[in-house]
Amino acid sequence: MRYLKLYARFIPIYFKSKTEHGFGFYMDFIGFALTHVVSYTVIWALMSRFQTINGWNMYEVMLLYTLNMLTYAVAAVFFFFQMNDVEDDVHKGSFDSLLVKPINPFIHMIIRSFGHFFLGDIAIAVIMLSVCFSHLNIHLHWGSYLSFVVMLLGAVLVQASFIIITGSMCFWIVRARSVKNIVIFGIRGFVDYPISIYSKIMRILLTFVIPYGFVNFYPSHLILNKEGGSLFASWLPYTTPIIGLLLFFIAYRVWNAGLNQYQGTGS
Amino acid sequence: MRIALYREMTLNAFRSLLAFRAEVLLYLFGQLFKVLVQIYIWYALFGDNNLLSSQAGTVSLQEMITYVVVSSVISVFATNDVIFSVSSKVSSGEIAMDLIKPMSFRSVIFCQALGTNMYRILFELIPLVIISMSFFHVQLPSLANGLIFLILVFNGLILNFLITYTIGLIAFWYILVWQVNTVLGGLIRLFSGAFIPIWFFSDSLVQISYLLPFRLIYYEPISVYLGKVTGWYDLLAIVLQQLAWMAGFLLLQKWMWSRAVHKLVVQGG
Repeated sequence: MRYLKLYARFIPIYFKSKTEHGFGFYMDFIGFALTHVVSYTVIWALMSRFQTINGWNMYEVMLLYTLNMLTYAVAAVFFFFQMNDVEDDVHKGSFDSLLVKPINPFIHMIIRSFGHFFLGDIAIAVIMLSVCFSHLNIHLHWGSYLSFVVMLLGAVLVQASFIIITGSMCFWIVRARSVKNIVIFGIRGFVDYPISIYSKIMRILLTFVIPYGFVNFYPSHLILNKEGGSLFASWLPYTTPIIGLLLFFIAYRVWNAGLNQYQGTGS
Repeated sequence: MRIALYREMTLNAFRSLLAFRAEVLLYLFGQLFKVLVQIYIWYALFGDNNLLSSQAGTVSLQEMITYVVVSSVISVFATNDVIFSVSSKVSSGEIAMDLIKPMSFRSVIFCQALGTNMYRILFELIPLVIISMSFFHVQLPSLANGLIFLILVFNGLILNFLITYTIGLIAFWYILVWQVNTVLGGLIRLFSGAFIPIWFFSDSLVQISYLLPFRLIYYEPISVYLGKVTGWYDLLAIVLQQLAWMAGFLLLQKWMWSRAVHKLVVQGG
């Protein structure tokens, strides 16, 4: 409750400082949005020629892309720039300021900034999600909607965990940003397409070791009529929230281990 | 004498990059991941067929894998940060230091890009080629095709530099260049054939891509590499188009530069 009150104070300040830039502030949204327009066009160009990839049609592939983008954007609003700030602070030695406040540094890290960049992504994702739903003739009753939303919350936790874990690397290594980039912009790209196209080893990796498969591939099985051949077990999609919570717990432990590691600059 | 100047500028950029070896290793992994994803996508799209019909005749899976690897090799050179280095020099005022150098601003930027590329040959290209060759079956071109391919890629990279440099000059008028860069990156990703070869495009996309210069950087050289373009007439047409676009961008950047320098105000200094 106290945290929510603080958040209500922090966020208006953040937006005031950002809207100072006026035009550029709004252009931020458009820049990000255009990347996705191109990605959808690429999927469209590819799928209008080939119709299906491994039994997935155009709108199903677009659904996968959209879910990856949506869950990432929601997680990134709260963690992406925040973890970048942490890295900058650690480099400059100004991270101490987070440690001396009478508030859990993890919470403070989250609430002192806001990823407004990603709001545009969320808007596009919601629009594309409804487009995909209508083309795929998906009509769920409210119970299924609810469980699907719970699955997506799990997926958001998975995305958030990867941002936190890779971002926390800055406590140990100097150039942590390249580790973050390779996981978030490299490995995450593997799940833009159904992971059933990969070899078995890679599917195991993406399910049990680096569980990005739970971001879109497994949750989507709950709303699409896919034969379960590419799953390791038919109940695996339902474990998404558990995987999310588990991973988030690990991420929090990594973050805390990083805090203990932090030495400060001694000034 | 002039040459020594250019050589030093290039080597400087090369040396300053040597400090970031761990980053390069990670970048290499990123590049490999991209290749891997694309190869699996093509495996899945081909399914049980080994041959697919396209606008350029039948294409085999082997050829597509080669296409992916060659495309990623070209992208090692074609991804440069020219746009950002131009814009950051303008916004920080560092450009003043470049203006007093006894060489044109364009050459300064070009030498820095060249130094970066030299570095990339050693630490990105060679490992990428070795790994790709040993894990995937990459076809080699015939000698003639290979030589023409090298010429086309060389032209294509110069064209790529001119495009990015010209767009970087926009920073004189509009400082938030990264959105412009995003738009350009998107256009290149789609219409250069870097990801999907133009021969799999629908007719409307083919027409758009032929109005844009980007296919001359990726798609046309790779087509030659794979032996899809053979007639001398066609080859000559590609080279002429490259030269025409290069000339166009040279004129454009000259005009923009003459306008920009008059506009430039550096504070302090």
